[in-house]
Amino acid sequence: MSRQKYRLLNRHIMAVMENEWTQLIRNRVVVFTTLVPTVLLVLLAITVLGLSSFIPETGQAAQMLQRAGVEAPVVAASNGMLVSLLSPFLVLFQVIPLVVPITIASYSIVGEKQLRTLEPLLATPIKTWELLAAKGLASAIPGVLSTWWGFALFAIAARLIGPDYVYTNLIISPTWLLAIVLLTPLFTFLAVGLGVIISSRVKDPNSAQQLGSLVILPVIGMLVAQVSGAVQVGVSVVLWIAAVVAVIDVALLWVSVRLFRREEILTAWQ
Amino acid sequence: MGYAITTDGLGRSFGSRWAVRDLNLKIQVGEVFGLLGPNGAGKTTIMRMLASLIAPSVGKAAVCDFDVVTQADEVRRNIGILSEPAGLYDNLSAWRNLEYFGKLYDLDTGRARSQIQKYLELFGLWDRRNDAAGTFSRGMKQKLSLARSLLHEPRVVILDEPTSALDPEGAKLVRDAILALQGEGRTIILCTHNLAEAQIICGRVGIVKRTLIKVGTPRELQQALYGRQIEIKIGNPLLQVGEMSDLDERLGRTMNDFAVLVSRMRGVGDVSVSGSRLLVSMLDPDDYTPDIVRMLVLQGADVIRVAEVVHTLERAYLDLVARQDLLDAEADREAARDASRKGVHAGGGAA
Repeated sequence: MSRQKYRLLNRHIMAVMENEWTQLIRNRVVVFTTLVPTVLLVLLAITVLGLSSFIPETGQAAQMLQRAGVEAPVVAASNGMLVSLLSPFLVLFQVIPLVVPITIASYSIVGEKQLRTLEPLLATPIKTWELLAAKGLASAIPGVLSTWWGFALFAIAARLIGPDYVYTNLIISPTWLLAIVLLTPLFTFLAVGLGVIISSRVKDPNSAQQLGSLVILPVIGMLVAQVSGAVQVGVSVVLWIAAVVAVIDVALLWVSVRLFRREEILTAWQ
Repeated sequence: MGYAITTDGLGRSFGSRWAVRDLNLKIQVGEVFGLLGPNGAGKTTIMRMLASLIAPSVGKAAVCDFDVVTQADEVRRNIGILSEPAGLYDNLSAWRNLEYFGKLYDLDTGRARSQIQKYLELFGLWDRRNDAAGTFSRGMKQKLSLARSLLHEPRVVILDEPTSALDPEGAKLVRDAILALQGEGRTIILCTHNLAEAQIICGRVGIVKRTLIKVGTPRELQQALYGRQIEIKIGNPLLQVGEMSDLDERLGRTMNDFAVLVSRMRGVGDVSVSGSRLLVSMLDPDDYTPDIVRMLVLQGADVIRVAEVVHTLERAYLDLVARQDLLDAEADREAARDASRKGVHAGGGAA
């Protein structure tokens, strides 16, 4: 019985997630806000790949390539320029797991406030942790999947239209794969935690989304640091970032669980 | 018969403000209990505590013998709550709204379907089952919300203003449904401002303003406030003797004479005059009314009508709340005086 009771995807959680996604796909604004960053980013990355044949050779390209952490010992300078243009996409892909979940989480929780559905929902036997897990997963899964699908599309495009060494030594390099596989879920949970906290304090989805959009600022900082050469993103940097984000995730989870209590939701969130 | 709901010294504060305190209530299984009170009286807080949505600050409460704090899941399984407003997912159909809550109440698919059909048909929404709830009128939303609260066949149903948005036909449908639920042995708590409705369908009512002011059947409340009163309408005695001058003054004087005579009789309390009517308070009208009528007739009065005065629940409610307001105001003044005295003493000590 207790195994059934505490199973991560039990009937209550599945029901709430299904309801969340049903609501989500019927809301054009949320669908648009969720899809646009992913689609634009993938299109931009593929466009850069497609323009690779027009990139002139320069003497500094190999140096840029090394700075970007590409492990190929000898490459053409033009290819080095292409690598240097594509490298920032590693960081840019981390915008998706931040933007998508925070958009969905904001709409999901604040939307329930607006519809006044929280009280009947909380009057059912659903446990508070089930509700938090369901809302969190309903926001997180699209974030992770859209990043992974976006990256997969980009990787397929790179394989088909890009130079081999870019695909082999950049796209499926340990640094990129580790970042996509490890950082994406961690950034997603960071966004979900922030979404819950922000939603507990605002009354309409627009305010939640505007506040939530600030979450991409650290990623922009990372991008600037990478492009300027201040930071070279390699495996060790990715692991460090993962460790820091994991700690922040735990802290945010703690705060979210404290805020996401039946009584708190009913008396303070309305 | 056991109790569906018991509360013992139940209270809830928000910061330093008490929303409800010292609530002692016992509601029997199968009872329709009206919870009446002005806005801000704490009715919603009571409902939420009973539904295990918020925890009491002090005291205890049990629903179907389950403690609202330590057995909250069981309480929620046994209770259905209709809150105000309806709280529906506007872009889901009526069916999907109910289906979603069926899952949350752990109904298996087959049972959920039959329950959804049962209640959509009962409330006349079956033909609109595939329409989005957002397209419904307020009354239809209210009925859909009521269907949702009954879906899992709860033993206790808490209804907050269930007929507030309904047309007379819809309101009657809901009232009939409430009485049908009572017939099935369910316990119903009805929070309403519609006192005529409470008078019709509630076995007992409790008047609440932060605490329980009074509880009883509507008739008990009326009698506790006003005792029993009879109204005696007397034909105008002056018209019989043709004295039309100074009619009002003479009529008043004659009626006052009758009132004095009646007030001296055995078993009579207060007597007042209202136009050509005497209002007589007494403990037992059945015993003393014939004597009063006989005496008035002997004194030359034409007794046209004798009837017991029935005060409405609305009047009883308004008077009880007004009395409580006076008591609260007095308590506040007393508290302010105490604070002021303490301030003076503290100031004196410091000086």
